[in-house]
Amino acid sequence: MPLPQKVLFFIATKNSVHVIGGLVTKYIIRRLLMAIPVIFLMVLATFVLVQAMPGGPFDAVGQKSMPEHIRILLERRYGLDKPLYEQFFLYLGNLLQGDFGPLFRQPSQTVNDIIAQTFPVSIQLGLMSVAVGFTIGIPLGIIAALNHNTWIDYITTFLAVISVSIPTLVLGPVLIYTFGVKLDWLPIAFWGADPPFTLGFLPPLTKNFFLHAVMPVFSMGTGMAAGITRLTRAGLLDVLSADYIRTARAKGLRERTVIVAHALKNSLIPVATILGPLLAGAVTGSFITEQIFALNGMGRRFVNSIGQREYFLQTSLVLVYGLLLISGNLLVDVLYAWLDPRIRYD
Amino acid sequence: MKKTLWMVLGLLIVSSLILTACGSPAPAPEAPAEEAPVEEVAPTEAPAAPTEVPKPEPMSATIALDNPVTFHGYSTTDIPTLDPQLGEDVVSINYIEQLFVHLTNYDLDTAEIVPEGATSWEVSDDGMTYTFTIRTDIPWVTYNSDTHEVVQEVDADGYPRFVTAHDFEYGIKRSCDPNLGAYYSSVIAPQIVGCEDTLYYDDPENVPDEMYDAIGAEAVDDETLVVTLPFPASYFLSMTPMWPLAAVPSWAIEENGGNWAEDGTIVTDGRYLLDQWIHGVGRTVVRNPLMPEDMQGGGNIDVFVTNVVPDATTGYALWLNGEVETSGIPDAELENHLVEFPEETIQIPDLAVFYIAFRETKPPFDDVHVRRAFSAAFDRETFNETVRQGQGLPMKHFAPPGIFGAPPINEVGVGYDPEYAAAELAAAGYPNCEGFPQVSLLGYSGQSTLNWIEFAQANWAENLGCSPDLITVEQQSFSELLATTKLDDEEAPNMWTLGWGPDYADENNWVGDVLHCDNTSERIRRTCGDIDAMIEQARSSTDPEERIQLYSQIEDAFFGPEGEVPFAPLYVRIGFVAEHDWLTRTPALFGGDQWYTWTIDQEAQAAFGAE
Amino acid sequence: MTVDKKMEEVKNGKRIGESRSPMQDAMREFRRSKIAVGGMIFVILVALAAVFAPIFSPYGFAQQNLRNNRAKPMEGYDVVESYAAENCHWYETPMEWGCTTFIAGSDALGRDLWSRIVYGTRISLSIAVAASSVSLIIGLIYGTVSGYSGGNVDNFMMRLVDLLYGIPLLPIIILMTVYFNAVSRQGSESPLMMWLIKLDSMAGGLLFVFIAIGALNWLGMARLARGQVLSYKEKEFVEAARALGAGNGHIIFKHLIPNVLGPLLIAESMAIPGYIFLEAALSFIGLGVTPPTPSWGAMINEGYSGLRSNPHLVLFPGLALSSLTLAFNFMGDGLRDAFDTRLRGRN
Repeated sequence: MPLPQKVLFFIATKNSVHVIGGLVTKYIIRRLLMAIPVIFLMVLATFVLVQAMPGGPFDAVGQKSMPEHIRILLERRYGLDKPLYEQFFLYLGNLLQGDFGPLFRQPSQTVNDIIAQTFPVSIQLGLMSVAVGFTIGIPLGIIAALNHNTWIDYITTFLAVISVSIPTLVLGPVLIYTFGVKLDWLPIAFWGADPPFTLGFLPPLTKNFFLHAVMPVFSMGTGMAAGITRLTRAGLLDVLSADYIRTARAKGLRERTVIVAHALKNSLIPVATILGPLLAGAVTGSFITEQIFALNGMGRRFVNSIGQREYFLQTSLVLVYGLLLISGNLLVDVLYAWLDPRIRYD
Repeated sequence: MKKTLWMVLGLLIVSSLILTACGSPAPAPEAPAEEAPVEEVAPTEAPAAPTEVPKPEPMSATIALDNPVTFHGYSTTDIPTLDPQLGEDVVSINYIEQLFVHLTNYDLDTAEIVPEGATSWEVSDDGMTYTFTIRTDIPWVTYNSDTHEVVQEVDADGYPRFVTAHDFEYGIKRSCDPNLGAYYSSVIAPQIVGCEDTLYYDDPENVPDEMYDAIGAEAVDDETLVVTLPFPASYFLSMTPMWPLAAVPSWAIEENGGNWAEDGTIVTDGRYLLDQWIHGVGRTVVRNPLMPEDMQGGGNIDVFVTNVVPDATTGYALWLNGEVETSGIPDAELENHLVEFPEETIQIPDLAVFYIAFRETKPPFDDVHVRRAFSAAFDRETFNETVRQGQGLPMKHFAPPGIFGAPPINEVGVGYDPEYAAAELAAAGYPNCEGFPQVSLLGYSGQSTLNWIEFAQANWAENLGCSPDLITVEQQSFSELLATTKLDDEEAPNMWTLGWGPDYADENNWVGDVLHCDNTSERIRRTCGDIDAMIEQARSSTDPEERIQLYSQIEDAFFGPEGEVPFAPLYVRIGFVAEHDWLTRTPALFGGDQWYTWTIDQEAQAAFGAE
Repeated sequence: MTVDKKMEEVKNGKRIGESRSPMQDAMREFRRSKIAVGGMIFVILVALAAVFAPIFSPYGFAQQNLRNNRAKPMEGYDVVESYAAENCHWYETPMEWGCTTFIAGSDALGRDLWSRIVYGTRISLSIAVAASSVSLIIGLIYGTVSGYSGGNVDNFMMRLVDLLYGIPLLPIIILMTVYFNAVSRQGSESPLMMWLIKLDSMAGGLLFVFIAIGALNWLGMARLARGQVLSYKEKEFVEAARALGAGNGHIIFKHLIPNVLGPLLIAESMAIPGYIFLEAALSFIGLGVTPPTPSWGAMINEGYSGLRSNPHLVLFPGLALSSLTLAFNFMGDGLRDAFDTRLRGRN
């Protein structure tokens, strides 16, 4: 993802800590308030779009066509024959009461059930993948930057990029056949934990859970590692040629102190910037991984819901994604303040 | 500063949790523990010494599950429902077959209708009244998956509940309820008196009780069920194994409404009990020991576990690793598999026939010669052998073997005949495809459909001379295709791909339910003619011989050299299934697989893992 | 420049103090990184393959040869003379051996995989070029306007970008693509739709993929452009130009945009691999090119289920995809390093 540039200005006061603390809270509240119209528009747009697609949820039964009368009956039952604006306000009304809507083809389940079942899995997968991405990416990026334009640089970049060049679609089955079938070291599929989860989303930290998580997390994490490597490398390179580093070196400080104490923290700024969107992207973009490893996650449900015309599920999932993304961006901004004290919040 | 940061972090996480946790229902309560026997109640009316009639104890048992014979399988989707009247898709239907008792069953070896809930039946002379004798020794039970206890249900007076004719009556009438919105209601409704009246009633929520009472399904007493038909539909018997006619527990439905068939609350009467159902992940069923001996089925599988695996490659990997007993085989692996595991492959014809349909009102396919040409120009043999790698047999007419009334597979119908095709196209006025207008072929999504439509394009180019530019080819998701093919002539495609799988084993389900002009009014749009009269005649005839002859004539009238060709029947699907040799089973073609007849050699199964 | 090098040049008769344009400096720096040059060469090769596809491939991408489907690489097969004469581009050339051998094997319908990979370069490159152009142009215009205007306009425009960052664009793009595909099949009354549909068929069915990619990425481009404009706006040469009486348009086009364009182009070239992958991912869901046009992503989707027994169906398109991605990555890295003034003279 391209690198957003933050404007850096510095306001220093004696009580800077308290001022910044207060500013941050006000900033966050303001951002949350600004997010509300965004969310509203997003939900509205999705709602209209999903219903505008030709074909409805009750058209087909397996390979057959649903008889007209029954189709009309079912549509009436779920209020799909009402005018669009009426449906939308009903949906909003239900949303405010915490009801995300019904599921058409699974009568005993609601969208709330689906979200409660799939969101924890996606979050667990996403968080672990991001963690793996960072654990691989940052050291590789540092090594690459410190050995700029040598063969070490090329190889580390090559390794990082190759992992993102292999589509999950290929990597997944390769991993499954190698580690699952041939070597039998790892379980082939499924998530190592099922709902209900502790506190709603925490996984059981058992060996079984981690064994199941290895291949899916690896598939997703290596892709992120590439981006993180390159950002770290770029950031560190940028910083290493800055004046204050030259000053530190001139002062006679050891190279290691120079890097760790001065360069590293600032070079991680661009990486921190993508943390939020990265996490949100991990949760939303995990469709292929979930499909191949048979994980009951949100990505897969979303894509399936399009074909099945599950209007309420689609809209609600887009809403959840949007909230995730906004939270992620907000997290980034706050993190930014911690990493770079020169930021002003207007 | 740091404190604020953590506070904010916590706030974000908590708020996103609140949105998901909010509104999710509490987990289903456990099934109630077994009930203590009720006190005896002395009858109050008899003036003589009261005779105490001891109430029978409800049946119960605890299932011992140490080293159970276990079957592992997978399906690409989760089960939408376990409710017999609502079952629509193969996976649900399979589960319903194990959990519930149907009126009759389908014998896997002889393909005949055999007793199940009904021990015997009589048909009246006019063929419109069926009297079933129902056995009353099958208990309704609930199962507690924590304690492994299965307990019989009791009614309000404490009498243990067994399956009776009343339960079947309730089930059949429920099928006729328009508020269920069940697809299969429309399949069985034409065959039962009064059922169509309620099903298609104008105001579904206010169907008068009299109309429900008028439905032709009546439990004369606990053991006798009488079903009345509006016309002598001789194929009705072949419909009796179907799940919409199954008995259901009325009290459970009235108590729990839409959630009656869920993990923890479901009440069943079948050979298996629902042990666990984690939506989107998998489900487990266990053997019901309270089932009458003669119904147990002969199989030895105690526990049946099925997980949801959406990807065929992963499923196949599971099979290779011995983690599942059966699996589909991805197309690209088929050749290799047959070489590597010839002993562990079975072929299952699932009786689904696939065709390319024509819009009969839209030029140029309004001309029967053009339709005949395009149908006869498709090389079915090569397609099935090479492209489908043997996963199909060429079809010249509609109904495949195994369906009552269907002609032998190699008779009746033109099939692939390139000379005939070229001649027909010339007769239509387009010799060698000169002057042929632009037409469109629509396929539903999927790689094998893609191969199919591209193959068609290439065939028509080779055999008819119609360049691929003339035939636009595209794919849509299945429900989109269903919508698009209903549009008016201007917007609908000229041709599209579809398939048909049988609901019951009779030709009426094929040429009748699919091709009768009443049923093609939306898509193919046939004009009514003599053929339709023949279909109606065959539908009502009670003479099997006459019916077979009529159907042969009908198929010829559709697909013979002088045929109307509303669509081009291409192949009947044969599924290749990878099956480990320690499993012995006969797959069912109708009504759902019968797991209670399958056996696993447990030693051989365990030995695989040790390799 | 070190002293020694300067002395070398003096000895060789070069005029001292000869100025080189920044562009020449950058190109020199670029050539230093061998791997970046390698990447660029590969990209050029791929571009050539795309343009001259029939020359590089024995068959067209739609030729079905059913009796020889799922053939392994370098497998010879029987071909009728007339068939070869009619369909094989290498017939009666020194490369005629390719008419009877599947260089990379064949797919389920017997189509030559090598030919399909070569034709697939067209899709990949057109996405690289067209899609990145879309996001570049939108981002450039938006960012320049915002940065140059400054004040409240700038504030508002950047707030808008911030807001849009909060929308999960990928799910919405998927929805829009599905909707558009569905509507375009049915035809439409509105002239806007008809025009879009026409545009789409000209783009080989990829119009919405381009729009999707453009929509997903212009935000970052806009921010980048704005940052650049802000930092250049106050520079002396702009002040000088204004003092000389140059109008806003002149300043923007002659002075600002050339400086802004550089970093944007580099950012785009680094994002191109992501675009190619986005198309592959969309193909997986069924929203990519219309068949039988080959795209590497679609070919991988077709072949991945046969990974165990027919790895070539996935291996070759996968290799092609990876190689092009790597090439763009290294090239982009090299360009960025070359144009970054602070790095020059380090080694």
